[in-house]
Formats: sequence, C-alpha cells, structure tokens
Amino acid sequence: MEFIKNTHYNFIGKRKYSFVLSSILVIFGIIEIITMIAGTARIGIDFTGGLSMQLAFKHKISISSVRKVLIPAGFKDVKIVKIKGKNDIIIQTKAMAKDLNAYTAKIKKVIKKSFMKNPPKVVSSEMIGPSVGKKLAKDAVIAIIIAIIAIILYITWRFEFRFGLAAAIGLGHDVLALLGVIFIFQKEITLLVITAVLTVAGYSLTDKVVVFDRIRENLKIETEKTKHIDLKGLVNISINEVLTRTVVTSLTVVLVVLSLFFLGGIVLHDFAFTLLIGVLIGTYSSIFIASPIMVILNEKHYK
Amino acid sequence: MKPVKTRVILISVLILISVFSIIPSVYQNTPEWWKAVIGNAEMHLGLDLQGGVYLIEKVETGKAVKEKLYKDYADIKSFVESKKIGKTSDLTFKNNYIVLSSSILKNKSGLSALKRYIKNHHVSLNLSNDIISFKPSALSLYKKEAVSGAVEVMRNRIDQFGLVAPKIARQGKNLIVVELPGVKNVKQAIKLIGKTARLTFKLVDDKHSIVKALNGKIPKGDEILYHIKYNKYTHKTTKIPYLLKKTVLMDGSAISSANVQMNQYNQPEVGVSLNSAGTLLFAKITTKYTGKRLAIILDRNVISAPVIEEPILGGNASISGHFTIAQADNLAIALRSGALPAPVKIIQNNTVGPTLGADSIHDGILAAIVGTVLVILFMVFYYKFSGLIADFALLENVLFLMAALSLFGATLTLPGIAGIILTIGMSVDSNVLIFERIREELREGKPVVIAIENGYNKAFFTILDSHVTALITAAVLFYFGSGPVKGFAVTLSLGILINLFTSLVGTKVIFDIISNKKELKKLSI
Repeated sequence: MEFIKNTHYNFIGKRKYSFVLSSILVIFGIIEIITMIAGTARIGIDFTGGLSMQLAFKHKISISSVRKVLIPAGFKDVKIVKIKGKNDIIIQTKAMAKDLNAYTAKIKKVIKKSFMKNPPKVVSSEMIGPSVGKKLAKDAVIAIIIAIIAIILYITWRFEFRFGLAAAIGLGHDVLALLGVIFIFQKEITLLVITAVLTVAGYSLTDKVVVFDRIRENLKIETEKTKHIDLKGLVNISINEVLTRTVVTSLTVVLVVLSLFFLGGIVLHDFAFTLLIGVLIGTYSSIFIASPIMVILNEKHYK
Repeated sequence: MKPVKTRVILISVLILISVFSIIPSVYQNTPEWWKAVIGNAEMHLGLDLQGGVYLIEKVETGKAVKEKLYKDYADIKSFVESKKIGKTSDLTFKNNYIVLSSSILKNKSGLSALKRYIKNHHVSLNLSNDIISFKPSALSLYKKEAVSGAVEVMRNRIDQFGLVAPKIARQGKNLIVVELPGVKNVKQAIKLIGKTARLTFKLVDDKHSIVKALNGKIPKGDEILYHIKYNKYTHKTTKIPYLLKKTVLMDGSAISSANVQMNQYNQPEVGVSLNSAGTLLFAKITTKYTGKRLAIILDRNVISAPVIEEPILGGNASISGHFTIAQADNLAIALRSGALPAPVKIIQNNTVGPTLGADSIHDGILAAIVGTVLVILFMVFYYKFSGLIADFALLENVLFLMAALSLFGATLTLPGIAGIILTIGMSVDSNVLIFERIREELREGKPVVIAIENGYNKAFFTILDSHVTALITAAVLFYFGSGPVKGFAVTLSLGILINLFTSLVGTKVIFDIISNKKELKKLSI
C-alpha cells in the first residue's frame, strides 16, 4: 500500500502564500498572548480562580446530575466534587469578585429549581484563588526560551547553524500560530490546553529534524539527481522524498487525536482540538515555513 | 547469521520486569512481598479519576503581622536608644501595636525626631497619640502577602515531595484549599505542607540553673524550650528541657540549600549550605561563642544543641538529631522551600470523590482504546506484515511506559492517559521512517536483507537526532518548569527514551530472527 509515489511538488515555490497565511496566524497568536497578559483572554479557572461553593443536600446526589443542570444554564468550566460520607458537594466555577453574591444566588436558584425534592443548603460560598501559581507561567516562559537556545545549539552542532535557526523559528511559529487559532476559535486557555501546546512543540521539532535530516543527507552526497540543481531544488527533492513519511506519521497521530476529539467526552474536547490543529500546523510548517526559511538564511549567507 | 540471542533475552527480561512492576498498580490484592520488591512503587490516580483529600487550612495572618511589627519594634527601640530620645522601656510591645510612655511624649524634640524617623524609614507605620501601629492599607497587604506566600511555599514543598498532582489555591481572605489525590503517604504530605518550618539558632544559657528555671525562676531574656526524643523500641517520648537565650542569632533565611546526607555513624542528617550573608553571620557567631552550645530550633522544638568546637567559616553546617531518613528528607524539603510566613491550622479535612463523573472517565478510556486500535489497524493496512512488527513495538512501548510510570510513582490523570495514547500515535513515527527507507532501498533493487540493514542504518541518525532534540526540550521543561509542567516533562522524557529503544532494537531483532530462519526473497512491507 502506498499513498504517494514519486512526487515532484515545488514546495519552496509556494512560500509566498504560506508566509502570508502564517503571518496572519502568528499575528493572531501575538494578540492572544497580549490579551492573556492583559487578563482579557478566556483563561481557565486554574489560572484565574473563581467561586467555590459548598452545598449540603438532604439526600444522596450524583455529580453528573448537577453538571447536567449547570452546563445548560451557562456555567462553563465547572468543577464538582462530592464529599465522601456526606450529601455535600463542592462546586467551583469562574466568577469575578464583584459578582460573587449574584453568582451564588444564580447557582442556588438553578439547582433548587431542578432538585425540588432534594433541596440544598449553602454551607459556604467564597472566592477561590488560582490553583496555578504565577511562578508556573514565568517558569514555563523561561523554560521555553532556554529550550529554544539549547535546540539551536544542538542542531548547529549536529547540522549547521542555519538549520538550527530555521528549526527554532519554525517552533516559535508553530506555538504562536496555534495560539492564533485558539484566539480565532475563542477557546479557553486551561492547563490542559497548555499541556497540548507543549506536546505540539515536541512533535513539531521531531518533524522538522526529520525533514532537515534528509536535506543534510542530500547536501552531503552529490548524486545524479542533485548535481545540477540549486539549493531550492534540492530542498524540494528532499521534502518530496520524505513526504510519505510525513503524511503517514501525521495520519497516525491524527487518528488518535480524532478519536479523543469525537469519543473522549467534553473533558478532552479542547485538549484534542488543540492537538489536532497543532499537529497540522507542525507538519505544515516543516514543509512550508522552516524549510524555505532555511533556504533564505542560506542565500543571505552565501550570496 | 546475525546474533540475536542477547537482544531477545534483553527484551524478554524487560517485558517481564515491566509486567512485574505494573501488577501492583492494577491489581489491588497483590501480595505485600511483591510490592516490597519494587520498593512499593505504584501508579496513583489523580483527583479527577479517584478523588482524594480536600483540606481547608487557615493561615494565622495575625501572627505574621505581629512578627513584622516586632521587627520594626526592635529597630525603633534601637533608634530611640541611640539617639537618646528615651530608654528601651519607654516603648512597650503589645500584640498589634506599640505604646509610647508618657516621658517620651513629653520630650517634644525627641518625639518629632521619632515621628520623622518613622515617616522616612517605616512607611507602613503610623504614629498617632501614644500608639504606633500599621496603617490599615499596610495591614491588609501584609495579611494578603502572608496567605499568598504560604500558598507558594506549600506548592514548592509539594513539588519537591514528588509527583502527586495536587491543587493548592487561596480561598476567601485567609484560607487555603489543598487538594491531594489519595496517595498512600498523604498523611506525611499533609504534615509536610502544614509545617511552619521556622528555623532559629539560639544560644544555650549555661550560666543559670535549668532546675531553678523549671521551678519558675526563668532569668530575664531567657526561655525554656524542649527537645522531644522518641524511643522507637519503647514507643515512649521524653522531653528534655533547655534554657535558652531568647535572642535569635540566625534564622532559616540564611540557608541557600539543604540536603540529606549520612554522618560518620551512618545516621541521616541534614546538610545545610548558607548563603553569603548567612556564611558571614554564622562565622561571626561561631567565632564569638566558641565553646558554648548553640541550639537549633525548629518551630519551638529544639532539634539539637551541639557545642561550637571551633569557628565555622565555610558556610556549611549539618543538623543531626536522630532522624529517620524520611524525617530528614522532609526537614530538608521544608528548609529548602523556606518557612511559612505564618502558622496554618487545618479547619476542614474531607475526603472527596473524583472531579470527573464515571461517564467522563468511561468516554476518555474508550477514546484511548479506539485510538490505539485505529493506529494498529492502519499500520497493518499500510505496511502489511512489517506493520505488524511495528505494532509489536507499539505495544511494547505502552507496556514499558506504564511500568516506568509505576516505578516513578506517577499520578495518572485523564489528560495524562490521553498524553500516553498520543505518545503511541507518535511512537510509530520511527518505524515509519525506517520502513520508508527500506522501501526506497527495495525500489533501487537491493536484496531484502541489505535493504533492511541499510534502512535501519540510514534512519538511525535521523531518529537519534529527532529524539535527542525532543529530549532536550523535555529536560529543560523538567529543570526549569514547576508543578504540572514538571510532571508532563517526566512522562514526555520517559516516552522518548522508551520509543528510541523499541523502534531501534525492538523491531530490528524481529527482522533479524526472520532473516536468520530463511532466506528472504520478498518482504511484506
């Protein structure tokens, strides 16, 4: 079985289109980051904190029945836990400090209406702070910057500097473009989504190294097929040669992610969405962003 | 013929070890000796899958404020004394304010100097009539800082305690919610995060009689604190009193790092490195008080009171006090993460169920299984028999990763499971690379055995470089990240290393076995 055979696409020639598309996504990604810093982005309860409310029911109560009532009523990102040995539940949801009382009343009303025979009593209702420290965000940013430097150094050692730089730019592009899509779809940034973004970063790097590796190999051995062509042509040949692998690998990952997306339930929905888009962006950028950038860096270098 | 024996044995042994390590995590009635062999390592289920402990701790912010005021009090007192405005007894420290005596109030020029001093050097204080107290704005800021500081210290300690995927958040004005998954050593964890861990060094008063002091005649400026000794054979505790000078010579802020080490009697102790200010201070103290006994106190308990044999100038010290390894470990963590800004008290301790309903867990696991099966089927569809070999490597991958996570005592959450499944999707990548290489070789008309050999050789550096690059990212995330990012980095690194092994060794050996058995004319790929 083979999907693709002997392709000769001119990938590098399409770079004008891909650079335009990517620039738009990256700009949206930067906007997303700015809104995150400004605190206006849709950020999950892990980062913002919200309302924590303990309710005591008269009789037994199941979490999923409460969730089924709260979500249609417009409460998103709700966390519910049950206290063992009591008929108490704790509900955590996003709310601003100023509308604490209104929010409490609203939740109480919605629940009371649906559980007439099992009326709850509010034990406590208080603001809760973020469960993720500011340190986490700061540490993560520092880690990503150091990781990018380390990657440039490693690839420079194993390949050449221009490959390292192109891979790092590609990686930065993938993270920003992914955030751009998150901005366009107005998805909420939760801890899970952050994990998905980091996973995509790992995937995207692997993908770029594989493509670059073939370019490196073709640069080293001058064969009949590469003797009379320029770097652009050589990069095109290399991408075409590893195209099957690129497609097959993304396909296996997409198969997994799609099953998480369609079958994984509401909890994994945004996680799977981020991964799906991220994998597509990572694959696309190895071919249409990182490789042409490598060619451009080379032209500046040698001409 | 290619020798395959060693590799077959290696892989079989690894599979056996993995199965052996996973069983305690999945089968509840595993015999105790079995668990002991693997060091009681076990995978834990996270808050979302299993629930855990839900604690509400109250931060005694009043104490933090009092301590802050006391520091200012000491400073103002020395100012009053040095500028000859009055005597130290003219200032009285009450719990949340300082009272000025009438003699100072009469000294008009002195009072205005004091007012100026407070205005310039203690902006958070306010002097009105005969009382110095914190301004309301400063008061609420300090209280807030005490709570958020406590949250950070607790997070830090839990991070260092291991991968337990906790949740720590402030609630209301002075409460902290701590959620810990139902890990086995949860009691130890609760104890550790709630420990104030205020370390102080005080001098033992050897000029006065401890017996007299115990009878109520405590010399001025002294106090009695106890060393609590636990006899592990008789299970009895004894309290040994110490008469100490109240003055704190040095505290935990002088410490830059703390680690468990073994002393010459093979007893665990905590080795402490001091920061540069601490080194200077400690050198000064140990020079001045050579021959005296220096008490090391943790939260009002005397840990030990060794004699200062000689001045210690190097900035290294050790704290020994008949610890068990676990005790020494927790003390080191507490000292590294710093003291809580104020003591905390548990006001609610509940066990809670999973945050995800049974249906969500069911959906997630179904999705994971379907995803894995799809990948397995696809590989057979696309690479025929060779795809089957890749599928073997894939299952090996899952097995090894689960075993490694069990041995690391990792906490499994639903997203964590999704992440493992994703590793599976990515893990076939290496074999795809190899297979595509083999196909290229075959297309060029090379014999099967050589094509396989070349395929692996040519793909080797590609796979190595791509894995090492990803591993660098994971290592950096682990080293510089915190909390959940750290846990993610561990899973990612393990996945990468295992994948490197299974794709390069795990599948190659099967090809070698086959080509040893019969001469391969055609390859199903």
